[in-house]
Amino acid sequence: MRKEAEFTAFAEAGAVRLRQIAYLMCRDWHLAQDLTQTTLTKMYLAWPRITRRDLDPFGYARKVLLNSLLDHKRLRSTGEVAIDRVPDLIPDTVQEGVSADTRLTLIDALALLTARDRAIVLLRYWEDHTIEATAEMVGVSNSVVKTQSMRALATLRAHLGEDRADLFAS
Amino acid sequence: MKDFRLDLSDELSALTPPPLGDVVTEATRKGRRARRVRTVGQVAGSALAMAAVVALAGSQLHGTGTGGGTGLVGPAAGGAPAPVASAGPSSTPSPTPSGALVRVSGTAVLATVLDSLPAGLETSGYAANNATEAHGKYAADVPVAQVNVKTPAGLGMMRVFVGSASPDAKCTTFDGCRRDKYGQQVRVTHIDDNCIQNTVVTVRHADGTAVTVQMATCLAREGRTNPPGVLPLTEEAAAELAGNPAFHNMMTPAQGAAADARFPSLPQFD
Repeated sequence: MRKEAEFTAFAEAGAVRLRQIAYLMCRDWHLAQDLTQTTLTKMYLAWPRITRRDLDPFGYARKVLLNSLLDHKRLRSTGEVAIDRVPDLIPDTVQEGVSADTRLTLIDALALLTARDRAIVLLRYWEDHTIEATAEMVGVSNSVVKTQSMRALATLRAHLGEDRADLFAS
Repeated sequence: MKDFRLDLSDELSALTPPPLGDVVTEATRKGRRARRVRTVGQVAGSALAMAAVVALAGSQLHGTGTGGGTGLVGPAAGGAPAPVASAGPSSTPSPTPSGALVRVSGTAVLATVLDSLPAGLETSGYAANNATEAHGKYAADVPVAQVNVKTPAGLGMMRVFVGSASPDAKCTTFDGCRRDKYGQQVRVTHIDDNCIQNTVVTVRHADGTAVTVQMATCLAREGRTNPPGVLPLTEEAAAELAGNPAFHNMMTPAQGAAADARFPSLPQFD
């Protein structure tokens, strides 16, 4: 029962953050909620092993979540397709009176990346993981993380415009 | 990248997500149910395995190793020769009158590994089980075998996983992918700060079977540490091993029973 209480405490503390990561990956609150619940179910099953091996539970959960997300996208034949613009937010013609607030948000721009690139960017720059840790979680080599993160940042820069280039200053 | 985090934080704060609901209670309930199902399955599986072993006791079985034991491997040591040179990548086990194909077991993976290694290698430390997410991406519920190999430089440990390949995996040199003599995709990944997964070689077979050889620079955990080790094989040898068409993600029940009889008391690892 003590282990179950530990799991519950962990799950209650981490659920919001896990759902936030899931949302940033898929931009769908309902899917994010489902994936969070799936992740916590898997965590419940793995909890004895996690505690026995002194693993970082949140790191483990994040890895399970990302695997579930990437698998979900892989399995969906009608899955999300990366596009090069967001029609709702980038009108074809300049409109009078459109305020600067309608500019592309970071979350919108992230949606323009592929699922794997989005995971790499979020792990590297939102979750602040090293190249090696990111590579291990996404299941690619370090060099792929390096090249893809540079390309993804360039894509974000191109979409967000020069006025927000400072976002990517190291 | 502080501004990146701050901006993303601000944008997230401005959103109004739906209530989280009772996600923790629901996850716990589903987890309990899954654990019950798993326990029942394990009990039933053990009973079946015991029955198979009893039925096969006394039948002629080849093999070199015993559970957690040591031995020489390959044709020179008396093991069944691996069809590396002669078979193409299309040979698939066929269902027999003894039953339909089932998921390959860790024990059967171990038997194939030992039969596939170059002749004369001294091996030890056999273990096998079904892997979990902790063993890496794509490893969930994939059977795995662990073998120590004695090399001139010292003892090396490797784990071999046999699962299903991602159906849409592309193979480009950009992704560090090449093709072997059978045209199968070969990927080599290095994780310098992870001694267990220091060098990972994955081969995707034509039938969709994915074989991953994790070569460690340390040995399996003893207590709270992993003793130092050396890479057990070269990358080329690991790719040759993983590309062996003798590996399949399915097997006949008879193959499973034979492997269980060959390694009757195989330890598990986690």
